[in-house]
Amino acid sequence: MTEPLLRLEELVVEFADPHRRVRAVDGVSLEIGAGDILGLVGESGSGKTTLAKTVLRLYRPHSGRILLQGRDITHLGEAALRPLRRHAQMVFQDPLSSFNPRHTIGRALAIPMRLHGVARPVPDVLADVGLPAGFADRYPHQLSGGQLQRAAIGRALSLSPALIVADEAVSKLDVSVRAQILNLLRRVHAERGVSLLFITHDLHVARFLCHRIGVMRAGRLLEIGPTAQVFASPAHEYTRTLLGTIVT
Amino acid sequence: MTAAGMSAALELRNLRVTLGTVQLVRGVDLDLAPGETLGVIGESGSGKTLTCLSLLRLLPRGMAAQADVLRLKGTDLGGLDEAAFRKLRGRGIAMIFQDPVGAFNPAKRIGWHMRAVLARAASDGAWQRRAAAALSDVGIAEPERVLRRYPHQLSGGMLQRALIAMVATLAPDVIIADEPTTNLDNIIEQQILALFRSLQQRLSSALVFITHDMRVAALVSDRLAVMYAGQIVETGPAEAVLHRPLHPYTQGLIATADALASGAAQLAEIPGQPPSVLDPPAGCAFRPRCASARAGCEAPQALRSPGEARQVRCLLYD
Repeated sequence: MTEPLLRLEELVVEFADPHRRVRAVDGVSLEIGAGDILGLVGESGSGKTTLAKTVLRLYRPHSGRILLQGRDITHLGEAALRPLRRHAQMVFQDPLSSFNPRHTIGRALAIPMRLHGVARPVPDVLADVGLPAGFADRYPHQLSGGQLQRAAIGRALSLSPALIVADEAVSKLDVSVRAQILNLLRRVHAERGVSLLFITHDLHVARFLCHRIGVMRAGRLLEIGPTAQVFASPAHEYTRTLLGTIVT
Repeated sequence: MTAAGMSAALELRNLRVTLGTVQLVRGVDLDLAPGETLGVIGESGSGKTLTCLSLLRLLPRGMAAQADVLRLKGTDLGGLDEAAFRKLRGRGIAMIFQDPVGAFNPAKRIGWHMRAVLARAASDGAWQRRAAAALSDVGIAEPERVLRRYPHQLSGGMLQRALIAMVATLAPDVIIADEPTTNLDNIIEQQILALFRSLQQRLSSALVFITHDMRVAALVSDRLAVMYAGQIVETGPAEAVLHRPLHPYTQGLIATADALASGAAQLAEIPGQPPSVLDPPAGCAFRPRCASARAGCEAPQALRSPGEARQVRCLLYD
């Protein structure tokens, strides 16, 4: 039996403040195989971003297990996680805040590669995501949202990760640019075979990109299945309501 | 465009918004009949929000607006001083913002906000009863309890409802809604759009509905205006624009949305980026991204009228 790329077992993530505990992720189990694109859909507050960040161990789970490439990373410390980080990269919703405003794009791309011992010229990384080499000398504020998101995807890809977690990576982009980035993600997947955990509230976007879709609500994974099946015969009442909101 | 003169709820001619030497809005005309809904579509930097902020004289410091004509129900707004204009905000023209949280004072209860608005609408003293009724009208359950809540205790959808209730109470001649559903989830978005449609039945206000989403605009609008780089590039009846877009930019937006909705393997792309406001291309601003660009596009384009009630800023229609 081959181990999937990512396996979550009964994952629970809680946040505590002085007054109460909030269970943001409530017993989620799922698997992502090599080359899979899994979409997570749900409303804000459903726990999908918390789940994504926990997968990358930006949060520490309360209970459950996270296995990346068969290795249990649930309780690893930062020092032990660091060499593993190149295998699982993240693309955030807001490209501007995911770049250091005082670093050029070239520097922002070069640093992670240097830290992980990857020798690849920055212009090549830019070319992979359709940006001209001259952008290496620009600062983040000099790029448009779409161009910056390309750079963010390039930065993630430069480490040749097995998994990219993309959290609402196209929702802040202009409509006329969104299609470019979606096509780029699809091409990148086809060329590199990288797995994607793609988080979105946009069902059309999820259907375009994802092989399988998981529907989250209130921290729970309500259902998960092949995209066509979830769209054609949703198992859960909530999924039906969600699909009913698609404007066509 | 239709509806002019005294009968128009709003009449705007040749609006220009500038920041120093930078032109952000470059000659926008708007006409709204009473009760009509105009959907304004555009992406960031297209000038759609600035156009609306200038109607309310709420432009950020440093920006200046000039228009040849700006009339609300026949009243020339250009001649009003700030004191007179302030009286007009709310009852004459009101705005619903994208972020409902930012529209409320976080230290005050919902009831405090409702009371302030009801005072403007000439209160009969029993404000609590009227405030609760207004909240109930926009689908808020247990309105008396909600009146005692602070903004942070309500969800985004609830706050947007409360904001809409406040505006509906004022029954202004013109309501401007700036991306009122963009920050909301799909399910809540549907509910708020339905609420706007019921509001259109209940009030005689004209509505300007700003959005970047063509399909959302089509759901609530009678007419659509598509903006690009500070200008209107296409207007027409909502159905006609959606099903027979004329401007290459509008065609691109709709092709992308259609491809996504139909589950196509490859999305139709508009190449390139929206132009920088600092350095817009000469002539047609869409030219660098346009597959139909040809000789002549480098000259400024006027709006053409290729069909009934339709206008397009493109030389393909000469």
